[in-house]
Amino acid sequence: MNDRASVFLVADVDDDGALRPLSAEMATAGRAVAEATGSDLVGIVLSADGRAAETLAALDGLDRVLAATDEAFLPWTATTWASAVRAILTEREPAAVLFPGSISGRDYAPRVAVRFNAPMVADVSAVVPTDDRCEFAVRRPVYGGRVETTITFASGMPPFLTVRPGAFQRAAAAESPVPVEIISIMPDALDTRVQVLEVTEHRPSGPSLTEARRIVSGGRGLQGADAFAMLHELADLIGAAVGASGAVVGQGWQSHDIQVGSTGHSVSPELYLAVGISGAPQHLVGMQGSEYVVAINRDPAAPIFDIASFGIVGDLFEVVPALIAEFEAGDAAGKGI
Amino acid sequence: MSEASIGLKMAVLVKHIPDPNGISVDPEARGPVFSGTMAVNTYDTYAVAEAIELKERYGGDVTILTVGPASAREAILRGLATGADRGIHLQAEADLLERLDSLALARLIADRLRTESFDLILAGQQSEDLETGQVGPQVAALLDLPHVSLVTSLEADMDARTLRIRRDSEGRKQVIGVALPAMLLMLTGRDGEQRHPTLKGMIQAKRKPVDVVEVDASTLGEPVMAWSDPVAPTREREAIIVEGKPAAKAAKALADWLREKHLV
Repeated sequence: MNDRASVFLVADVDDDGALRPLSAEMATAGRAVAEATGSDLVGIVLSADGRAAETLAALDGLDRVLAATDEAFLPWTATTWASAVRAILTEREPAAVLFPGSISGRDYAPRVAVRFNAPMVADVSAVVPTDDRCEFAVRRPVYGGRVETTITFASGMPPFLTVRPGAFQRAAAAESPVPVEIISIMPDALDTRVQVLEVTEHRPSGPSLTEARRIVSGGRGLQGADAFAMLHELADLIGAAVGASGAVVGQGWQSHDIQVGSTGHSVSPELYLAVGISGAPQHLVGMQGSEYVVAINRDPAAPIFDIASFGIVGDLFEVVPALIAEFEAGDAAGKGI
Repeated sequence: MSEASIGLKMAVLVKHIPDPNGISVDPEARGPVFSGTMAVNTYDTYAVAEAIELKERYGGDVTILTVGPASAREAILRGLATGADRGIHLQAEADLLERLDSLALARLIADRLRTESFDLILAGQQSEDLETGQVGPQVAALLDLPHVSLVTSLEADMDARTLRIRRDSEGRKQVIGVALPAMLLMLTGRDGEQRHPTLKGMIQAKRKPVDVVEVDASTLGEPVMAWSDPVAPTREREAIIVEGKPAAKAAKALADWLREKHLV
């Protein structure tokens, strides 16, 4: 059955066993790599049940889907998933393997790459044609996404890639679903040395960060947890979710679940209002997909202004209250009061 | 097995990087411009602080390992000044290191760590310059150790030789159990604290042993991938920048702009 090499795509599945939207973006990226290498595109789904595999098989661009089900796959751990994907790929000949650029994918993919001595590229944002030295090249952001680099591979080295969220169009629904093959992994092939003992869910109030159309986000410039009250007030007025930079979370001012950046959420709202955020690389990488960035910062040289469409250079402790007053007045006028 | 539970033998991986706040983009050449200031990767400073905290609590020792040119010794000294015991410097010139992919780098590190039996290897979640987050998991895989990422705090059961780890992941908080030896990637410091070297610490650091090993370029093999020079993507629109004083005027200008763009 291995008549020709395949490009594999390991789907992004959440801890409840549902397929994440990033998987549909990966189908688009995977199709581009498959065309460039003259390969099939094969999906791999690890889950506790078969639902996510059915969802993936209904997407355009795939040739078939392999589904492995095991209770040990959820909640996800890097060691278990790496060992499972390793076992699946060992019997096959990958031309390239795509992993989700989610927190989980970025964690287990490098472990799998070790087994195959594969060149590994994180956060791929584009698949680009190249000269005849190699079949395709990829782009990825570096230094916080302010610049990007193009990467080519030595011949005969199937690359392992993680796909950056929000960088590719989501694949549409296929005319008819492709076949799903149920595969099994020998239990002793699974590395279960890391055990999840407890899970607590912490949902922030207001619109969920990754789905919000508007985000008001605070950084080190807020000087403490207290000033976040002001951001919440502004966010409520304009129907926004509240986010925070890594610096703020590192200081313990806000919890990690509202963190935007490379170790938190990747967001791409219509409006990202950055308050007291200088724009450190690890923050920019998580929000540069926003349609409009507005920055309020005291330092005119802050990197956040490089990607802002509208910037206010000034004291946020004066500007934010003025904005709140402005929107309160606007609301009152709108209601004819 | 015969080894008594005499604390934790720990190694911490640190990276000396261009100061993330000192990078700008040249508007003409569209390439990055570095201030020349170097810094220890922030996440790695959390790993160093955690290792020293664990040493104070459970006993043991802390080794700081870095790969880099002679100037990267600074990253080791900073760790030694805050309480680590010794350093390992895998020394190579920057142009040699630039050819290495994450796996080649991980192999260099793993080959050196393999010569001793560490109970615990710590590193930052990722570096702030290239942000691949790959080297840590790859070192763990090469040493066949389990790894846990996005760690916020942990405690050890020294009799059972196990760790109880708290981590943050995708909006959830988890408690993880794993047996030693293991590798951890730190997301935050304990209470967000970094340890800052004191003058006394800096003086003591210079007397602590640092094992300097020159990387043998002939063992590295052919590069498996090549990177172009980084360039800035072209910007689609020009920014409007206004002064924040008076604040009411700036707020009005922003509110008008947001309404005009139908963003509020």
